[in-house]
Amino acid sequence: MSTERPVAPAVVVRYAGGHSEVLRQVCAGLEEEGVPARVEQVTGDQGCVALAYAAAGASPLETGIGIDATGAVAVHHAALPRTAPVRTVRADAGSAEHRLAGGTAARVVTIQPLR
Amino acid sequence: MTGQPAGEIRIRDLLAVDTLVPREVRGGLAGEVAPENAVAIAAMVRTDRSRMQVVADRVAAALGCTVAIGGVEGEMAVRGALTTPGVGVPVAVLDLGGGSTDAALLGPDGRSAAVHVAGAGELVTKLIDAELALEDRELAEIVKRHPLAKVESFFRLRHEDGTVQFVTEPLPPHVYARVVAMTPDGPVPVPTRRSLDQVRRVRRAAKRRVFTVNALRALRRVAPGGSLRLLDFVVLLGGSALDFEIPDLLAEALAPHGVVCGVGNVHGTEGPRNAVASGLVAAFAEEA
Ligand SMILES: Nc1ncnc2c1ncn2[C@@H]1O[C@H](COP(=O)(O)OP(=O)(O)O)[C@@H](O)[C@H]1O
Repeated sequence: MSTERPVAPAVVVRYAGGHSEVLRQVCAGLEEEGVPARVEQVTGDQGCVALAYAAAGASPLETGIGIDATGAVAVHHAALPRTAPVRTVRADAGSAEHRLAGGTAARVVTIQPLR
Repeated sequence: MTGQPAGEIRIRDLLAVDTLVPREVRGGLAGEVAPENAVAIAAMVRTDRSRMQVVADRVAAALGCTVAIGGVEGEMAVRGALTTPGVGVPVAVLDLGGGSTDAALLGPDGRSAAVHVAGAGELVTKLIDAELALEDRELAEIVKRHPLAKVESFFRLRHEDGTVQFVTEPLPPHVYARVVAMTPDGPVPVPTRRSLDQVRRVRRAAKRRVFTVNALRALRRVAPGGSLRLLDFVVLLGGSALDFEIPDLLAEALAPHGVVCGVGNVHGTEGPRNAVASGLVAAFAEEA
């Protein structure tokens, strides 16, 4: 018998803190498309692309989101080149754009055209 | 273009194609669409020599050379087609152009016949544009000319023949999970909710409804006694003979009548285009 516990399939969101409204919108975007999220609070000054790439590596769905300390958002997939995220959204882009970033990650998982 | 008054224009031939065009439902939910019947029409109009002279004069003025009007298009097309290696008299040609589909026949006795019927590549593009509600002629032209694929992941495409291709460079996010047309410049997304199979069906049906219908009616008019059985070989010419599937669709439609067709190759190098131009040059050279 394996001692490993099954990991719930989820998009991993690595969040550097300080931008709870951005985090809320990103999670709402995922939820709208019915894809579960697992939020992991991180420390340090990594940029959103690096955070998202690491998050994708940690996700059983190979899809991750990074929200860095400036509030910028990136969506990434583990199979893509490290520096080529699916999408990035600036911190000041507004709540609709942040929500769309969550939706984009969800659509990568469900293999739907990205908006 | 020739400044001919509308009252003097005479329609010689007409092709009407029934089509289903998606229309936004009025009073329905936002973006709700329902198919609506429509008819697409292509018409051929008669031009007379004086109108051609207007064009010739303008060409002469623009290029500063002498311009002569010569040749019967069908005969010149046959002449051009005959430069295809392995093709000899008797021969029938089908010129699959943009606006019209033309058939011509050169019999063993040297007698020729030619007809033009309305509807060709441009109408196919219009049908694709309307039925997929693209509202983009350029994009419809792309869908017409290239096979489709479905992007299944950042690294995987499924072509319309079912084969799967893996790519080493990731496919861009704007084509992710979309039906795309595979152009030499890369995949171009087709903005539609329809599946690959549905888009493919629309494309092939548009080609059949224009070209197989027109090929049969044009060839019947030039065939001896209207009988296709008396033709045995048809050379396909014109821009639409370059299409990746129109020659196959026509071969399929002509086979039951015992007719074989093949794509022309003018002078063995030029492909199916410029047959008329080649025929004109050859005729001029012979006269001179
Ligand atoms: N590679 C191609 N594949 C499919 N259709 C093509 C291709 N090249 C040209 N066409 C079509 O050929 C038509 C023009 O044919 P052409 O013989 O050049 O025109 P015309 O009737 O004006 O002499 C257009 O409808 C165009 O879409």
